Amino acid sequence: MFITSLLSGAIQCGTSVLYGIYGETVTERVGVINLGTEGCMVVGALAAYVCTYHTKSPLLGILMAAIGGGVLALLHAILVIGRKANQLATGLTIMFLGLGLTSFLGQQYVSVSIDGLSMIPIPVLSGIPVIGTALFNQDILVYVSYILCPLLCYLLFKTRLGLLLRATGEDEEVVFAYGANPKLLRYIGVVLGGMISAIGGAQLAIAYTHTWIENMTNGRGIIAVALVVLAGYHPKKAMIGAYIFGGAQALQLLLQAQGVHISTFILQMFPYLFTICALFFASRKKVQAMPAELKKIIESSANS
Amino acid sequence: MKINKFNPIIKTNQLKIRFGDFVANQNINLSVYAGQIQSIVGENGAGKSTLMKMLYGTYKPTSGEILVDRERVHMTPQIAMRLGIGMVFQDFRIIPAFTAFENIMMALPKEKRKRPKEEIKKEICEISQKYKIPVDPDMLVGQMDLGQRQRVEIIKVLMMGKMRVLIFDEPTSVLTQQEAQEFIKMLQSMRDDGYAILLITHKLHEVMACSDVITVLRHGEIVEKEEKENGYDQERLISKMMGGEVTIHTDYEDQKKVFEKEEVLLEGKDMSIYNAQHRELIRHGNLTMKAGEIIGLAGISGRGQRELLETLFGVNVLKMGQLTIDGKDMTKSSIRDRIEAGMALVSEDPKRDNVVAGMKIYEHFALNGPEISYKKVGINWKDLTDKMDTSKAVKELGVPEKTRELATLSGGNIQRCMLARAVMKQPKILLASYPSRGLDVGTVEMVHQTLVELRNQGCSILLVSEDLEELLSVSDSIVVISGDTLTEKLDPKTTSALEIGDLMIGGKEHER
Repeated sequence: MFITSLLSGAIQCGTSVLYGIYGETVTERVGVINLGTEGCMVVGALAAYVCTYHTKSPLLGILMAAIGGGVLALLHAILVIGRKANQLATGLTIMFLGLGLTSFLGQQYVSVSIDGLSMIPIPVLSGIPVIGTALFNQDILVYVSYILCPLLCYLLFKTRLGLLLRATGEDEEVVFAYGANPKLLRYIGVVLGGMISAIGGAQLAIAYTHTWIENMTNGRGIIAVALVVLAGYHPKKAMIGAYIFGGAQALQLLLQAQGVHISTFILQMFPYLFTICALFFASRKKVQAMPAELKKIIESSANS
Repeated sequence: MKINKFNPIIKTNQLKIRFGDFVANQNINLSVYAGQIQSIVGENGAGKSTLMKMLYGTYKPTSGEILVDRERVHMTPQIAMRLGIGMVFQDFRIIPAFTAFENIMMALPKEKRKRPKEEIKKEICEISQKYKIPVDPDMLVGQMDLGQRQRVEIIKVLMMGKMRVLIFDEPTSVLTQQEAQEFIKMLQSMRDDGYAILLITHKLHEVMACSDVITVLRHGEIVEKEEKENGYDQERLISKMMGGEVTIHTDYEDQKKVFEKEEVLLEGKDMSIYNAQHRELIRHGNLTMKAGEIIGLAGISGRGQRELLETLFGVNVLKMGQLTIDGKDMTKSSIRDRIEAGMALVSEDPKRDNVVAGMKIYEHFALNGPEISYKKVGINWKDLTDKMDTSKAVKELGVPEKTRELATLSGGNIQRCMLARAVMKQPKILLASYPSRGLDVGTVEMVHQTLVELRNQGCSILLVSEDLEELLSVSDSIVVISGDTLTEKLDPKTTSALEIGDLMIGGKEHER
């Protein structure tokens, strides 16, 4: 049953990162990089937790998370789109703002347990040996993350809005020439991205750990930004990176539980080491998929 | 179609535009009629593009008015589109990461968007058949060559609405000679379908045959207008373009100093040239460069010119084959070794390859130019600038004020700076890509003169150009990239542009 536990853990653990990758993919597709994804996620975690704690409704919690993450992403958008601030610097600041703000506001809630979302086994499917329980005995946010992948693909690649969003990330002048408003499209992409990322934070707080701890995202947002590259800026490959990260996390927890004699500090590095390896082997080819407007930002940051 | 002389689609009255202190256009009175090809010719910087961008609404005129169907219009690109005015930009408004179809989809007007995909694809096919501009709708634009991209752009513009006026900004600059001829035919059939065509170009000879009206722009004003029915006076047109100072085409043959010793400076044997995607572009290519020789390299753009030059210069490693420079095996040597051996490269895109943003022109000359001397602890700048001031190449090629930032100059100006820099090094081997691209007739002449002088001093030059006339007039021999092979050296005196064109195209089909 080790495999089942590992798989189940990978999904449980990876889902928050998966939302982060989805969110950041949408953001980067419109030509904005939001290093503050970590901030959006942690805000989402606290918002979902507090709301669920008081209202006893996880659904309202998720909604609050999306609003919270959206507001923080909007701040990023105003700064980098409206004021043309440096995207990398602004993103980092947004991240620390999110972390600091939640630490302060969440003081009284630390380590208080809540019910939150529970596992909902899907009939028949959850009965499949080995993978059934892992894949189909999960919380609702995991299932949503399964569906979100084709949904985002549809939005980005099959609709006119998606076409315009992606075009904004490639060449805003072209979009402008067709009478669309690239600035508005960017705002949409960044805020939507922040909202999706924040739901990842919500999953972490109310579905995975059922508690609030300060800085509980622990770098997942940053990892998500890195894994967007691994996924080639495409939602359909987001799961690969997310579950590599989640799998490594689950593995280290399982090893710790079994009392393996490796320092816990080393074990806790596992997910990050795995991610670095994944990036090492995948990065070379991915640069070409990078939206052109994003390249400009990274190049201009490197030059200035 | 009969041209309705009394009802122009577009008419401008005293159009004027100013950027700061600089007047880009003034006193522009222009009429555009259906079923007519009107060519706007002029030197670089004559204000052609600016004028077209005003007609399309990208720029707002400072004063004057634009009338469409006799009504005054405050033009914007959206209004232009609605009124049936489309523009094919020089740098294309299409997204390389998208397929042709996606690019076209994005440009469709509201009422067309809802239609099923198949119907839209069908319309694309119909247009491409009608005007013989084949495109593959599902191909990524990024994988297309410039000619294909232009065709996508044209179809896109045609589908953007009920187009009546089509503006083309320097359309032939990205095309080979054959493609340009096809392009002209396409324009003619569009004219016959009743479109009004505005064609901006600085290549007068290309448009003489097809234009119904030729308008010459100089220093932002219309200085000459000739109509086909009255016959064109080519010399007059050229002199109007150049402002009277026409240089007569030089026959470089007379200036040739014959080099008897036939010293081989560079020899590449059995070279395989790959692009960044590891595709083999040239297979088993052989190239011998002798002292005092200009070799013209002809070929369809993107068939390995860039990669060949970069491999010879050492930017890319030669994986197969052998390269000897000055008798020494240099197959694996570094760029630095090759520079020390007297090699210089003028890249096809210096803006990308050579320009350091924020650095002045003379600083670029210090990076890789004439030898620099040191005074106490630093570079002796005065010595360098003195050298630049006294350099014939710098003067003749018209290098702008040396304290200007290189990055702020136009592509053609950057190119001439890079050429002047390479010439100042007195290279033994010069690899020059498109040294005259984007320059006006007068400067092109100076570029050729400079190359010939360098040759006469014993330099061996590999000249890449898309302009076959240029290659034929300047080169001592011509090598063609035909499919994936390099041809033997051809004698420009006995080879016609058409034969070379056939080799360029023939090789392409052979490969398929």
